[in-house]
Amino acid sequence: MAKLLMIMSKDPFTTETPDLALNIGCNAVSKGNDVSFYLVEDGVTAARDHEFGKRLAAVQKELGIKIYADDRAVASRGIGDRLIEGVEVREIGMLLDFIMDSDRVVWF
Amino acid sequence: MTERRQLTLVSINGPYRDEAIFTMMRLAHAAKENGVDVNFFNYLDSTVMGHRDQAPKEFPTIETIYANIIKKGLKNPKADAIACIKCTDARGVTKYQTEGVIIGGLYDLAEWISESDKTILLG
Repeated sequence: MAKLLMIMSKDPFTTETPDLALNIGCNAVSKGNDVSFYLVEDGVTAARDHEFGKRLAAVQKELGIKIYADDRAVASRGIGDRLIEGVEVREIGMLLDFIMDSDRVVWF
Repeated sequence: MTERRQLTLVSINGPYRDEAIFTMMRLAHAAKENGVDVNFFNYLDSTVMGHRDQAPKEFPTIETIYANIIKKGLKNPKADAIACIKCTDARGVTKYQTEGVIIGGLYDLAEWISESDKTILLG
């Protein structure tokens, strides 16, 4: 089982990249891998409580995908109180640890 | 003595277009604080990042932040920077790179990838 870290930096409304990342992540879990998403930059908007956020909440609950959001990106967009449940807001040092400790890292 | 871990950061986009370069700088700071060596490989438009005398009106000057990290990286943990020569020549920025940036090529990137624990491409 590989530890896969997917960093999402784009918002889900202007590109299909977060869709792609989500599909790859779900597929990786179905093949027995351990998947985490770290949302950064505009990517944090994906975890707002709306349509895409609900999809994230579902994969978190049903597939055990862990979701983290960058503290500065969340704070600068003022969306800290509108995130889906279960998203952990973390600082960049944590992202560094995730990067160094994961088997595979992909930046979307 | 245990060998220090090494992270290579490859960037392709220019500064001030989005937050990617600033995220990369924050990551590099975190690496420095956590004892991880950092290699910057600037490719395509990101070679403009090291251009001297930038003066953005509404953003922090990326060259200053970048130069500070490279300067601090003279001591361990290290921070090295290479800008792709074909990319810098194409953009006319080869002679204007900030202090500490070495002009190199993709062979250098290949070496860094093989030496590093992790290589990240920020696209």
